[in-house]
Amino acid sequence: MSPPPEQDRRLGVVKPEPEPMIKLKVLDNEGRRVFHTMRMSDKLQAVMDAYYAKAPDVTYGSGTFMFDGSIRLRGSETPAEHGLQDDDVIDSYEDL
Amino acid sequence: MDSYNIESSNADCLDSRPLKKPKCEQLNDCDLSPSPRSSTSLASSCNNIESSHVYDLDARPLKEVKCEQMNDVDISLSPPSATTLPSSSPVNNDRRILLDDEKHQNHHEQFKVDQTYDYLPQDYEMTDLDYCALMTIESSLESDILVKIDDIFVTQSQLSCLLDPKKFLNDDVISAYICCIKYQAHLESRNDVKFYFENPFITVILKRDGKLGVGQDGNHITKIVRNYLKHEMVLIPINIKETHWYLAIINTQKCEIQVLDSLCWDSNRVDLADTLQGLQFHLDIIGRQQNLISHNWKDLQIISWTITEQVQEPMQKDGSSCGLFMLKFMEYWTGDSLSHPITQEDINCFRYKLAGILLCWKTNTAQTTHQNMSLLGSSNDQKETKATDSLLEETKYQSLMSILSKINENELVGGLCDYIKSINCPETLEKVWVRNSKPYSISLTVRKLQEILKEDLPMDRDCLNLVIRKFMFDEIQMMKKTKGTISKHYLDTRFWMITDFGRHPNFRKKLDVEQLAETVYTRTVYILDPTPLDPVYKYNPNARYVKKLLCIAEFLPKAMSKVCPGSRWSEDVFLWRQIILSDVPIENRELSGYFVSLFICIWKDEELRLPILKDGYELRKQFMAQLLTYKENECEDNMPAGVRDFLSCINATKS
Repeated sequence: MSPPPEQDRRLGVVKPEPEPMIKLKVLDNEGRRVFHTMRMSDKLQAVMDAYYAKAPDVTYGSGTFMFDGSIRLRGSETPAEHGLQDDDVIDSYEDL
Repeated sequence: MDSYNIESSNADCLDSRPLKKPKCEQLNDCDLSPSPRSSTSLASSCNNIESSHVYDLDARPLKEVKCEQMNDVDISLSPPSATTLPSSSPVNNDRRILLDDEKHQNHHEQFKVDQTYDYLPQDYEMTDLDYCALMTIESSLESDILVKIDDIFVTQSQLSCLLDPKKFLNDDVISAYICCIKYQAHLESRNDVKFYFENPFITVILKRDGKLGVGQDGNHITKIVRNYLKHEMVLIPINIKETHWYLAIINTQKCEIQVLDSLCWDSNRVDLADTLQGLQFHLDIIGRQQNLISHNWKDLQIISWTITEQVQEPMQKDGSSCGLFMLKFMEYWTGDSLSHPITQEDINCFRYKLAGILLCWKTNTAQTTHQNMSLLGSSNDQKETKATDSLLEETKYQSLMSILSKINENELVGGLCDYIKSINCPETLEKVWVRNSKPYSISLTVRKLQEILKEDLPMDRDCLNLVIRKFMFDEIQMMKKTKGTISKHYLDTRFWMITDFGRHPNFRKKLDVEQLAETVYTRTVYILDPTPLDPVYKYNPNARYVKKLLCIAEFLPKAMSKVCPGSRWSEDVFLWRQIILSDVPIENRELSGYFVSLFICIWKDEELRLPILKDGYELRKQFMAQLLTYKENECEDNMPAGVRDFLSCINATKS
């Protein structure tokens, strides 16, 4: 299931970083800011999980994560797919 | 009999884009000037196109050809530059004219299943397309993405609000419809006034920015707001959390914020104030930037503009349709007034119509709708089980039943037929949907059922035999109820096969089947023959039947003695009076089998009382309904659950 590089990481094998880490910020309606650092090829679910962890009043799995005012993000996608860069902001809001 | 209105749905299509400017060569060929035209002229031009193409193709009434042609026309039509929106009443008039016209000229017009919407219909009448869409929503899994328009993805669970009149409209559904509005060039620019349709997500971010403030250099929303400046009218959907939707319009010509609220809640404008504040922050940033684009806004201090309530009396009578009202406001607001009147009744219908528009929208790229198999279950097995699973949830289910129960029988049958036509999975096509094994087994696969609806194919023998069995069963049931006596005895074509008569080379076997309704009292053989007269029999038309009657006369007594050994049947039907009915509709050979089945069904008291039928396709559809509603069907479980529901609704409307 998981590709070899990921396995290596889990096993703690030190290898030259194949890709840079990016820091993403989630900003929600309440003004909460949640930062998360991840690889371009990691699933965006990670940053969403980080947000849900910091926002206990938001039902897990609910709400919308959007980038650049138009791109809806899904947990199964990666930052690379949408061209997200370091310090990009993800808007999050609860279902209307 | 209430006829199923294929024509009207086509008329609707034409009618609801009265202003489109024809662009393609095809249309030009047909001598259409490029100016906006009334729906009538456009419609008749379309008819011309169709007929010319049909004649090219061997002058046969091939439905598929026509429909493709129709679609071509659809595609080629582009929205107009919109100078004159017709008021609704002339449109209605045109439509009536159209309907009549079409009945004459376009007798064989037919609905195509994989049609799409490339315009926003202005009426609320449900078409087959819309019903199919509702079925799709009903039978899909919650997580299935059924609508993908631009960046908007809408799942089944989000769309389910369209099935339940008590639910609020989901924000993704709203966004998707706004995308559709954006495709309508005549809505984006009205009388040279450019409209900007914002989606609910940006509104939420604007509201957040209004509450929390924006950094010095702005953010990605600033870019979006900068784009507002290129427009004169910015329409912003506002949501009061879990409560209400209304529309705010930044009218830069009047320097006012117009509010269209179907409930007139003018005391609760907090969300609007926050949104405007957020917008103002962004405008301030843009104002400070050097590269300010040229714009027509009188000033950028929108926060100081007056807020004017545009709706004086609440239009909304329920507690749940505010989102639908808001969408229609977006579509119809001209800056001063609504171009079309909106009532609560319209909106109630719009909820269901909206499902059709979104799922069948031309740029909807979600897989399921394009295969249009998603409809009532599915043509691939894996999906089918999924659909059945999701249908188990009873609560979800009632909404569809409530819709179906409002549909009349003809529409139900029409929807079902369109569904069957759309099946193209090879495995599903080989599935047996109708089977009865008494006295001998007849099975009909989906493929055979599909052939019933193909107008260039004659009646299949198995279909006819099975439908006769069905008539017989129905009559016996009826007699049991009313304690009457059986007045009709039915013979199916097997009789012909056993007598080896049908194989006679001079006779085309399935077409020459005549109905013999005999009553012992009058000793009369009536012959009802819907096939055109073979020129061979030009001089003696009755000769057609002599051989057959002789054959019947010979075999009927044998059959009788076999079936009822003790009977004293000693009649020679050949010696009976023969009446060949002359007022029988004569159609093409392909249709004759269907007429025969109809005759069998309605022959009563030595009279033929023909129902009014619009065309041959109508007849085929009714035949299909007869077959599918056969109560002794042993294979009903092979049909998807959605089909079975349609059938139970059809049965319900009958009783």
